[in-house]
Amino acid sequence: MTAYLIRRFFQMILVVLLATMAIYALLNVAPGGPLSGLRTASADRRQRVTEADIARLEAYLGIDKPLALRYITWMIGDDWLGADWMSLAPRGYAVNEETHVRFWVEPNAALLRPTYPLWVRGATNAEGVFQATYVEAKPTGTPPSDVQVFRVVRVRGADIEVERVGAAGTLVVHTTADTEFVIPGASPRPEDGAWLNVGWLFNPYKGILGRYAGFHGTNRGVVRLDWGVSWKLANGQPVIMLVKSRLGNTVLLMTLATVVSLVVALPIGILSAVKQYSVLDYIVTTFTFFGSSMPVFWFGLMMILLFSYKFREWGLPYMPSGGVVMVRPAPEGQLLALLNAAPGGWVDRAVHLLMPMMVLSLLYMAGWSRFTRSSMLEVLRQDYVRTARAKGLRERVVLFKHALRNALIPLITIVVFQLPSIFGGATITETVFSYHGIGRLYYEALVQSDWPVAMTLLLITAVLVVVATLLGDILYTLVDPRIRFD
Amino acid sequence: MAVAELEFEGTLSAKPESQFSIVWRRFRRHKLALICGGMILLLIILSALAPVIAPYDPVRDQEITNRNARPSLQHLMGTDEIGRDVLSRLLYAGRISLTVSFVVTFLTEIFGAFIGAISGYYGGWVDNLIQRTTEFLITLPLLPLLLAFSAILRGVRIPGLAEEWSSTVIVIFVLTAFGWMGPCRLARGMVLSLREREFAEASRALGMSDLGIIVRHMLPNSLPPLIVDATLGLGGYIILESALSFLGFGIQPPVATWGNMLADYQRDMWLQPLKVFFPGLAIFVASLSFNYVGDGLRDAIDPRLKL
Repeated sequence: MTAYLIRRFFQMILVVLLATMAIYALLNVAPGGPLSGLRTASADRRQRVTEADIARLEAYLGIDKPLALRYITWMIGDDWLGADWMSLAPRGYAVNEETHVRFWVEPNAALLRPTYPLWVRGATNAEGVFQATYVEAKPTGTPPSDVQVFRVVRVRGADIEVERVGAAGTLVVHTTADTEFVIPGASPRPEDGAWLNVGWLFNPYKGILGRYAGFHGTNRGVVRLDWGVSWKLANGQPVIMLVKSRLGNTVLLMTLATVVSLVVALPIGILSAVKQYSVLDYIVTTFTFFGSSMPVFWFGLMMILLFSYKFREWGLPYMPSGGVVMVRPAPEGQLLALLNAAPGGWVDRAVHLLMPMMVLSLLYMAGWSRFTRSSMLEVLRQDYVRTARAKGLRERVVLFKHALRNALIPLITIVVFQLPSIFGGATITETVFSYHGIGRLYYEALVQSDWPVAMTLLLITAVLVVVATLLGDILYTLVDPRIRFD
Repeated sequence: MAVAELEFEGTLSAKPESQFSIVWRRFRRHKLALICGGMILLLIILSALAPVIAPYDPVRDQEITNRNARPSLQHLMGTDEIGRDVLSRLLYAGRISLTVSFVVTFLTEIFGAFIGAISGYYGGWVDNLIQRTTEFLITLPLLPLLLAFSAILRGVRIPGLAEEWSSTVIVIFVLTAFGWMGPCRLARGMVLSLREREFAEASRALGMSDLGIIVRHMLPNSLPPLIVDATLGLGGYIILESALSFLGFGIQPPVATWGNMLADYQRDMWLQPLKVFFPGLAIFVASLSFNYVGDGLRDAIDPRLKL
């Protein structure tokens, strides 16, 4: 099993990788896109949106870059490429300490950033040029006695033009291949061979991606848990904050709905199988069919119509029609006012949860109890169940230990996929009840082409889907030990 | 002697009851399923005969002066926001909605079950490959996928079909392409367990071919959850179709489907709640009937049920 799990783990990574690639590409080929609104506006003469504006925004969002590069930087970030690494002095070397990906950049002209403080050790040579043996950029602390402190003014080839802090005039520092460089996050000297030569990729003159030399950012990539910044829904806010503000609500709603459905569906399914064709079976069957036959948004709206709208007309304690907690004091006659609920308290939350939870529970319950009933019927007539009964085992033991266990396989297949839903939320239900959750965020992100948000949610979903199927397979082997995967 | 011989021949040639007639005989015992089967038949006939029995044209007959009317003798279910007869639209909509849900469910269940059975039966790299493919497809988000598809397939016409039927075929294709993973996972789970049972081992020992075992033993034994899945899917695909047309993909207004009527009328819900009630009712009745028929069917094909 361990070997299988390890193999499975690598397969999971591969699936998630391929899935995110496909999704990233899909978002880009789908019509629309983040600037489609502006493009429409630019076709309208009265609007002052020019092509240049759109190009600038594209550059700002980074969508002027090739798809593959954007995907890579979404995955592993863009802080390691671009100006800083390109600008390493002649024969500069760098290692990104956090990812342990090492890069070797070929000599090039672009150099250290202006105004960087610089420690330089060296001496003036015969031509009157300051020849550096040691250059440290952006150092901290107090300098050793034999180094001189400068600021970078500009860089030309192997020469760095510097100025002394507080003094007038500039000085030219000449560097050679022998100069030792210490750059923020860079290692001074690599062993040959242990380094990945990326000059062919990033060299501004020769590299394939050279024209994106300025593509340096602060994004650290999703592998380092940097989910990026929202483009539209909450312009400029980190995606993680957006997700965090809603995740709790969704997990609460979905977990409750799932647990309630399971707790109700299992006994209902077993009961209606054991007492097949009894009145109870018919009642239960019809009840669950009701749940599964109604379109979710129709059912939701009908509930609002009845419990919020009609109840108010009839003068009954009516329900809040949506939301997570009340935003203004509950009006007279509303259930919340009657319960004297504190805003944001658990009573407030519970009352708001009631209707969406009921809609979801009824929906899940309907399907799950049907699956339970149908497999229980299948199992109950098998020989080993008869044998167990003949042995004189108590009916409860027969049902739960012998029958149910073997009837669980279809249910496991279905229920494990609740795992992605618990985090992904239920878009329609959340929309109908204006519930501030992930499901709506996801829908809004897709509709408004807020790709960083959408990609984050889709990545989480993808991971949970592969985890869920693995969980399902493990559960199969638990309920039926004959199933083996290795 | 001669008589005895005749009698003997008679017993030999007595035909065993065919599989179909056994199933039908048992199905009839489930009264509710029988009634609901009749209900579905009625819905199909009503929809099929829509051009004959619908009192108005579903698209062209617009009474601008009589919009959002309440049900009356002229308009049994009232009129919509531009004065079209709701009943006529509902009848015509049934043609498309029922076709989509029937065909898609049938195709996804057949295709998914077969792939799933192969995956579960062979195991090993076959299983890995198929299961990772389904995982991959499950993670793809439907919304941008459909937007991309609608951009590619916009204006594609299947020759020899009216426009609404041409887009119906495309919708069926897309829904099938992304709907077979559920049945596949279900069938695979069942087969994983079934293939280790004694009867499967016996079949293998008797030299039955793998394909034979899958078709004769694995698939029939994994039918119960698949039937449940199909009955749930029948109602679900009517709704999903409406979500597609809402996104501007597939069957577009003014052509009516139950799903898009439900979605459209929902906007006027506070103005005239009855209007949204009718398409919702149609979907509800259809799904409910499908559920009962599926239930009856499940019981009828159960080999251990001795009736």
